[in-house]
Amino acid sequence: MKAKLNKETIVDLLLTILKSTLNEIDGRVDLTEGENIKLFGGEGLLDSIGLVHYIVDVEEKLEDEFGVSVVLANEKAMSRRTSPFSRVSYLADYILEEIKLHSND
Amino acid sequence: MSSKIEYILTPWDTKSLELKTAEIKINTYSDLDTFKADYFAIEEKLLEANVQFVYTRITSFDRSLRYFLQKIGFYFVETSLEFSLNRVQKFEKRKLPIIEYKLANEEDHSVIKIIARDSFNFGRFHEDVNVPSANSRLRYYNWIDDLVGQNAEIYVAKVGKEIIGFNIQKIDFSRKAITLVLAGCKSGAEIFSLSLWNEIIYENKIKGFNQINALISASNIGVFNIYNQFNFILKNTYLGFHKKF
Repeated sequence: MKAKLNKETIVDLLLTILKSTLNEIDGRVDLTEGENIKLFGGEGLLDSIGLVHYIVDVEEKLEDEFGVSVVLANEKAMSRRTSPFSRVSYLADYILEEIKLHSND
Repeated sequence: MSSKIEYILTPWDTKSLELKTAEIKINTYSDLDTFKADYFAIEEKLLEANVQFVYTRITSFDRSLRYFLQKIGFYFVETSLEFSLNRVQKFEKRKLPIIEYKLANEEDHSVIKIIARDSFNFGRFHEDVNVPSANSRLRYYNWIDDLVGQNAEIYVAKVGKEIIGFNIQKIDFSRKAITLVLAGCKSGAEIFSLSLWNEIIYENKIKGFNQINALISASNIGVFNIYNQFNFILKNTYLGFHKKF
C-alpha cells in the first residue's frame, strides 16, 4: 500500500473524483455536504451512467494512488438493503470493508 | 399507384390482453387514396377474423397518414426511436464493471421472463393508458416464450451466480447485421447496464457483424443514454397507434 487509507482519506478521494465527474457532466459542483452527499437514487447527483463512470474512476484511483485493487460493483453491493452507492459516506465504508476483506484473503 | 399493407395476427399479444390482436404493417404507399382503400380492405378482413385490437407504426413525419389513422379511430400510444451502430468491427471494448455474458441455458429462461415482467417499464403496452399495467407486464413475460420459439439468440448477463440482465437478438446474415429485440438489466442492477451493452457490442464484433440496430421507446431515457454513450446514431422516429374495434 502506497499511502495510509482510512475513512477520511477515502472520503477526500471520493469527493475529488466526484468534483471532476460533475464538472464533466454539467459543471455543477456543490460538495459542501461532504460525506453526506447523495450520489445515486432519489436526489442523488449522478444518474446510472454517471455512477458507473464514477465507480470505475474510483477503482482506478484506489489502485493508482494506494495500490489497492478492489471490485466495487459486485454481487455483494447489489444485494445490500442500503446501496453502498447511495451516499459518499456509505461508499467510503464499503471500500474500507472490501479492502479489509481482501487483505485477509 | 399502390400500397403495401398487410396484417399479421399476434397471438403473443392475444395471450396477454385476452383479446384477439393483430399488427398492421405499412411497408410503403404511393398515394393516400390508394392506401385508404387498401386499409379498409384489410380492416374488413380483420373484422371477419374477429380481431378486436390492432396496432400499427408509422414514420413520424407522415402527417397525412397520422391524420387519417386518428380520424378512423386509432389513438397514439408510443414514440419509438430506431438506433444504429455501424462499423462494429472498429469497436473498442471499454473498461466497465465486470459481468459474465454468455448464451442462456433453457433453465435461464424463467429468470429472464421475470426480469422482463418486473423490471421493464416501457413499450407500447406500458404506455397505452387503456391497457392495465398487469397485462403489459404479462405481455413481456409471454413474449420471451415466443422469442425462444423464433430462434432468436438469447444471452444472459451474470454477476456472481445471479442473472442480472439479458439480451435477445436476431441475426440478418445477409447484411451482417444484428437487431436487438429486447435487452436490459433488472431493477437494482442498473449499474451493470453499460457493461451489458459493452459486452453485446463486443460479442457481435467478435462474431464478425458490422451493424447493430435497435428500436426503443422514446420514453426510455435510461436506455437512450446508453445508446448515446456507445455512439449509436438515431436513424428514424416512429409513432405507434392502437385501435380497439
